[in-house]
Amino acid sequence: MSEPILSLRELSVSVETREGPRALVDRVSFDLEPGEILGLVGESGSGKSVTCRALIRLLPSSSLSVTGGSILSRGEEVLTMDDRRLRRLRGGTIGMIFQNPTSHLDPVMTIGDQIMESVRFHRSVGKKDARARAIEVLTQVGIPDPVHRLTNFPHEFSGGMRQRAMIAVALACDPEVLIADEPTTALDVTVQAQILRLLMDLRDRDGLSIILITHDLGIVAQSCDGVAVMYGGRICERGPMRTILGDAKHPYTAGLIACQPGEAPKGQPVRTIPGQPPTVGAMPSGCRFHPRCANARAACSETQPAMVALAPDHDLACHYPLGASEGGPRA
Amino acid sequence: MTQESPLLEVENLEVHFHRGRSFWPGAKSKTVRAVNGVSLTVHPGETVGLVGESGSGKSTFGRAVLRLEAPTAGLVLFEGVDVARGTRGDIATLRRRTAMIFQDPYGSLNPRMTIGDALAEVLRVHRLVPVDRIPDRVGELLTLVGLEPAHATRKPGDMSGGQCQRAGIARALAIEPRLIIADECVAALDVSIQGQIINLLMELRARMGLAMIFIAHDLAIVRHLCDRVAVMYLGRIVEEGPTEAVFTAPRHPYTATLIAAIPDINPDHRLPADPPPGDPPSPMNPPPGCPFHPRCAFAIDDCRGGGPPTPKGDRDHWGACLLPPSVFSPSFQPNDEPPSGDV
Repeated sequence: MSEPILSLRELSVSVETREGPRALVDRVSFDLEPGEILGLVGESGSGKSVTCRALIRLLPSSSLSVTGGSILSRGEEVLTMDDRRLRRLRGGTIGMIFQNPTSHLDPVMTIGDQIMESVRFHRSVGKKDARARAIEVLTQVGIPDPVHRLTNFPHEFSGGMRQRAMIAVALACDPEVLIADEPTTALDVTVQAQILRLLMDLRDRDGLSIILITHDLGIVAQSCDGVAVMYGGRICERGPMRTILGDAKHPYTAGLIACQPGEAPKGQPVRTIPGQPPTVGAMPSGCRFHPRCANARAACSETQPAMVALAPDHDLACHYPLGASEGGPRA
Repeated sequence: MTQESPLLEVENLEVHFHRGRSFWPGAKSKTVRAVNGVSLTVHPGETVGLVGESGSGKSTFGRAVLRLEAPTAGLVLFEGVDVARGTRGDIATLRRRTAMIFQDPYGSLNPRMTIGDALAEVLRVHRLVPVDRIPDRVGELLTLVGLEPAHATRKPGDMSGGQCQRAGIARALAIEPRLIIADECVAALDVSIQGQIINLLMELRARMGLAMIFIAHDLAIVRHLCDRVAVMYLGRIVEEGPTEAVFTAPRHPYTATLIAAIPDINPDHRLPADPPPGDPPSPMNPPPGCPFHPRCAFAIDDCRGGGPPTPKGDRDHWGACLLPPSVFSPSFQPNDEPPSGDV
C-alpha cells in the first residue's frame, strides 16, 4: 500500500463550555489513500464536520480547539505549521466544499474573480494565466460556456451550477485532497446524481483523493471506497465500503443500515434505533452508543471499547460485536 | 380503491404568483405558475405521496389545499364544500378538519411558548374540550405521539429535533383532523429518528383513519408509506398511480429518471453513468410542449411544441407522456394487469 496522503492519529477537539472543556472529537484516527473516496458517516453532532474543519485548522468557533493528536499531510505535521505554510495548505494542498454553496461563495464577486483570486494567491501567475486556469477548471467541473460564465455572479447560477462553481474554486490550485462536507444534501436528487458523478470522475481522471462527509448510506454505497462511521465524536467502525455495508460488526452501523425505509416490507414499521443521538453536554460513559444498543451489557457502560483490527483493513470499537460468539468482553 | 365519496377533490387548481412587479407603471411583471392545473383526489384514510424536485409546486399545492395560499383558479372540494371560493365559515370548518405538519420542527413552533401552551392554544381557539379538561387533553396528546406529559412544560429549544417534530404532530392531531398534509416532515431529521416519525405516522393513520398528503422528495420513504403517488414537475402532475405500479413500471420518463437517480444502498445497483443534464427549469419560464423535454433522453420532435401532453393510461395509473411507456421503462409490459389486486 502506498503512503497515505493524509493521516489522522488520535485527533481530539474540545469545546469550551460553562462546565469546562468537553470533547467533541475524541481520538479519531484514519488514513486517506491517494485516489480514494473516504466516506465519513454519522448523524448530526457525531463530530464528522468538526473533524474535517480541524484537518485544515479552520475550526468554526474560537471556543473549539484541538487538544491532542496529529495530522500528517504528506508526512508534514499540520498542527504545528506556521501561518504561511498553513495558507499554502488550505486551498493549495487541501480544498474544501460545503453543503450550501450560496453561503460559501462571495455574492458580490464574479465566479471568475473568485477562482482567479485563489489561483493568484497560491501561484505567482499573471491575470491572463489565472483567467485561462479559471476557464480550464470550469470546463473540468462541467459548466457549459465557461468563458461567458466567468463574468456571472453566484446568484445567476442555479443550485447545481453553484455547487459546481464551488468545486471549481476548490480545484483551482490543483489540490491533492478535497474535503466535501455534505455536498449534495441541499440539491435535488437528479442534480445530486450529477455532482456524485463529477466527484467520481475527478477521482478516476485526476487522481483526486476525497473525504466525503455524508449521512446518506446510499451515497456511500455509490461513491465511496472506504468508510469511517462516527458516533458521539468517535469512530466506531471503519473499513472498505463493501465490508461495512455488507458485513457491519458494530451495532450502530448495522442499525443505520437497517433504518433505511427500503429495508422494511411495505406497510410494516421501519426499523429504528431507539432514543436520540447524544449531545456534547451529556456524553454517555463507556461506549457512547450503549444507551441505544440492544446488545449492551455491563462492560459497555463501564469501559470504552478499544479500536481493534478485525482484518487488516477493518477496525472496530465494540465489546460485543455482531456475529461474535458469546463470552466475556473482548480486550 | 374505496368507493366512498372522496374526502378531498382538487380540480384544475392553479396558483400563480407575481414576481418582479416594477415601480414603473406599465412595466411587465412576471407570473410564476407554481401550480398549473393540478387535479387530485384523496379518499378517507388514504395516504397520497406528492413527489417532485424543488420548484415543482408540491408545497404550494399543499398550502393552497388548506387555503394558506389563495388559489388563482380551480376547485378545491373538501367534504363536498368548495374551499377555494368558500366563505369565512367554510374556511373555519376546513381549519378544524385539516392540519399541516411542517419540515422545520423548530421553526414551526413558537420558541417562547411551552409545548403545553402551544397545544392548549389550539384546543382553546377551536373550543375542542372544556377549559378545565385542557391540561388532561394536552397530556393525552403528548402520550399519543410518544412524548411524556412532562414535556408540556418544555420549550422547543430544550428538545431535540425528533421530539419537536413529535410535538408538531401532536399539535396537528389536537383538532382530530380528517386530513393531514405533511410537508417534508422528516427531511430535517437524522436517519435513526426519521424511522421513528414514519412509524408514528403509520400507527396514527391506522388508529385514527387519517387521510394524508405526504409531500416529500425522499422516494424510499414515499414508497414505504403511501398508497398512491403523484409526481409533480413544474407545477403539473405528470404521473399518478398506485405506489408499487409507479415505482416498478413508471408511465413518465421523469418518474423513471427520479427513481434511477436515488443512490441505492446496494453498491451493485449503480447510479446511471450519465444522469439527466441540467437543473429543473424555472417555473417563471416553462418550456413549451412537455415541460420535461429539455432534460428527457427520449424526447422526440412532437414533445417540443404545443401544449403539455394529455394523460395516457387508465384512470388509476396514468402518465402525461406522448411515448409508449415501454420506451423508457424496461420493466413495463403493455398488456400487464396492474400488479396490486385491489386496484
